Amino acid sequence: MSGSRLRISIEGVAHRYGALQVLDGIDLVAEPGRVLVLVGPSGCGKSTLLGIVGGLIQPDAGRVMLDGHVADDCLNVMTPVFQDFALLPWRSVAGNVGLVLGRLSRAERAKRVREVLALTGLEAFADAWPKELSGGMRQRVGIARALAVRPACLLMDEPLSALDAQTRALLLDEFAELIERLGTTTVYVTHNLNEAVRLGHQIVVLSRRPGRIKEIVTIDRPIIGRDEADPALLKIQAQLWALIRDDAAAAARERVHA
Amino acid sequence: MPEISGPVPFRARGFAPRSIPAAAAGTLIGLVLLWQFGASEGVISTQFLPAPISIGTALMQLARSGELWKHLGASLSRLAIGWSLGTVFGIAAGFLVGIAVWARSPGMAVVSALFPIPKIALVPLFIIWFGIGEGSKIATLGFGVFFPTVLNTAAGVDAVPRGLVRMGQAFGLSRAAIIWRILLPGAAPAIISGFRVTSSIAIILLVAAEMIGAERGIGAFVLQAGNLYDTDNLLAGIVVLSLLGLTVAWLLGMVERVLLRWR
Repeated sequence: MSGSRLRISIEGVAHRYGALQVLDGIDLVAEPGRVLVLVGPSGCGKSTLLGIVGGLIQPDAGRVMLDGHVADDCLNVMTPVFQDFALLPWRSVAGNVGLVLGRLSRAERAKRVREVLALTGLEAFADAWPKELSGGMRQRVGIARALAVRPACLLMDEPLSALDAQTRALLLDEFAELIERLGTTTVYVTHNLNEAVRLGHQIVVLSRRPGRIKEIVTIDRPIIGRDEADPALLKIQAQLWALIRDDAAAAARERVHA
Repeated sequence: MPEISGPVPFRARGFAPRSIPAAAAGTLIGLVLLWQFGASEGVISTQFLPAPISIGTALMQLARSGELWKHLGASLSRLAIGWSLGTVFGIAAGFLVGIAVWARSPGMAVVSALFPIPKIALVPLFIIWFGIGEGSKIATLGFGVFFPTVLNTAAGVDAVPRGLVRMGQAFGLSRAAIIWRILLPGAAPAIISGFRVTSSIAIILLVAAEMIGAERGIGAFVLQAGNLYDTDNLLAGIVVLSLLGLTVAWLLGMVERVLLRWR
């Protein structure tokens, strides 16, 4: 269980790339220990919003506020998990995880690396190079690295989208267990509505560019044990698709003609 | 409509080059044997191109007399100092150009203006600046190595995926840690591959500088032998330069295998 309890408040955030307005008037709150999922058509600004939340993109307007307390052992408050894993190819699995623990002593670092590799089932791969791992295993390393810093908030940008369907299904189950167990405030960006209903407590549907909040769907039940065949979840998934479909079709046409 | 019957032919043959070390060695040995045969049979005039055996004999005599080590030692120390200085300063400047906005445009303007100058043309100027001794030769080598190293390093830094830098920033790594642990190793393939070019440039400049103003060194030895029409020793000196180039290339290959084993 994470010792941190942080609320993320997104207040009036807007952003543009040149003449292109990608986000407009975003007001959201991610409650401590809950999973906020951002869904919407391509180009609606989901990843940009996550970048703003993580402090990697400066918004043109608005701000992101944090409120709560952070555990003593937390080394990085807002911690990302990347779609493309962002592993250093010249470092082993253990080296990639240890990279972000520079503030710890050598012994503490080694101990924490061992812990998170065990937690993510990577003990046997500590000395492997990233090129020797499958996509799923690489993302496990990305997760291990994120967990190693004892994050107060996890920011996950389509972490499963680069993986094949089978690996995605397996990792989704593991994510659900991990997120529930850690109780870390999480912002999760995805295109996949099945992932959204499996992991989200709050699912925020963004409109086509400029991204605005179209609807917020709440699922008040534990993440663990959610079954994708559950009629209630399927109904929510259908509801989400109905909200996104027209915008997704328009965005697809926009990209083709761009 | 034509009828087809039979197995599908395999069509993906070729366009997959691979190294055959035995063929490389065999080619070199074959050429030397052919050369020796041509010289022995009088097809090649040994007055202008001595036979490999004569060159080998001259090389042995030079080694026994200590003459070879005297010249080779002088050349190697100039090469090591000049190349190292050009490389260290080149990598530092390349990094500055690669990561600092304030250094990029002015740095690239200076490098672009000075890089195309044939460095051999600067030897007389360096002799005026640094004297006829070691300073001018080392400056020639260092100057010649510096500019391509800057360009290779800056290109290597540019080629490091920005996503890795963002990852470092997102995990709160310090600027120094991002440079040492992400940018430097990420740029290493380009920098090390540049070493092959700069080591060749350094050897060329070394010989040129030694020919212009030196008593010792392989370049000076080759020039003296040429002035005396001593083609055996002249070619012995050239063989030494060739072996020097091969040794440097082999050493760089070893460095690549160790430092870039993750590729």
